[in-house]
Amino acid sequence: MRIANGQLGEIDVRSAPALHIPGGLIGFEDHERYYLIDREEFEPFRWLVAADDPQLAFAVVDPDPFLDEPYVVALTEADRTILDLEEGEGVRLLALVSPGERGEPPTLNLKGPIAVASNGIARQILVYSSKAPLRHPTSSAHEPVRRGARGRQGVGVLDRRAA
Amino acid sequence: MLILTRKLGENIRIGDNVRIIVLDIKGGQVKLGIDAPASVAVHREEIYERIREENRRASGISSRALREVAQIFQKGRPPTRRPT
Repeated sequence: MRIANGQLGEIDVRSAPALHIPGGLIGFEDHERYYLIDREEFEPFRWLVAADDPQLAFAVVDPDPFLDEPYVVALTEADRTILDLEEGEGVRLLALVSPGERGEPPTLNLKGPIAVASNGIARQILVYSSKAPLRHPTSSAHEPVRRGARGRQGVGVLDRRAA
Repeated sequence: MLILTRKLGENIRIGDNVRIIVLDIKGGQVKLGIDAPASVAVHREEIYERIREENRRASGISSRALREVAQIFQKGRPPTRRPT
């Protein structure tokens, strides 16, 4: 099966992981079913494309490589119930990517990540901690990103596949 | 909008499963307790609105901008990451 997105063109979704987001993302409550699309040129970022409206697409990413410390958030009982998690079962976290302001690089929303359970159910959760910014930089326009030989360290996570 | 006046310690019931209790009133602040089933999400309005607006912005991300930052990442690493 193929769907068409204005930015990504035709997408073959047969092998794409499907996510069910009961109640949708906040502000996008009408869209509950998404495909997670991987394209080499966008790695480590991935596209979340609405199954019922392929023009609606979000970019998401595992935020850990962009952080000094592992990204850990607390799930509420409501989150765990909706995600249908087993006792002690964890989730993977995806951060939504926002366009940068005034020509700056895109930013990561660490205040409202998407928690993804192994069963394919996902939910946007709210993080109250003041340590979790709404717009975490993906790179600084004022600082060169490349830092010599050690610079490739974050790239290992590119192999991480999920859902 | 339904408007109710409640005293300290009094409750409001919403449906069969949600109870809101006025726990404390001090200065301009009201402390509320909320009893609700685990499946009901309870959030402060302002963070909810911030996420809604940021989601709306996120839906406008361009593939060009994403490709650029992906290329930077693939060549190196984010500057915030410390060597491990």
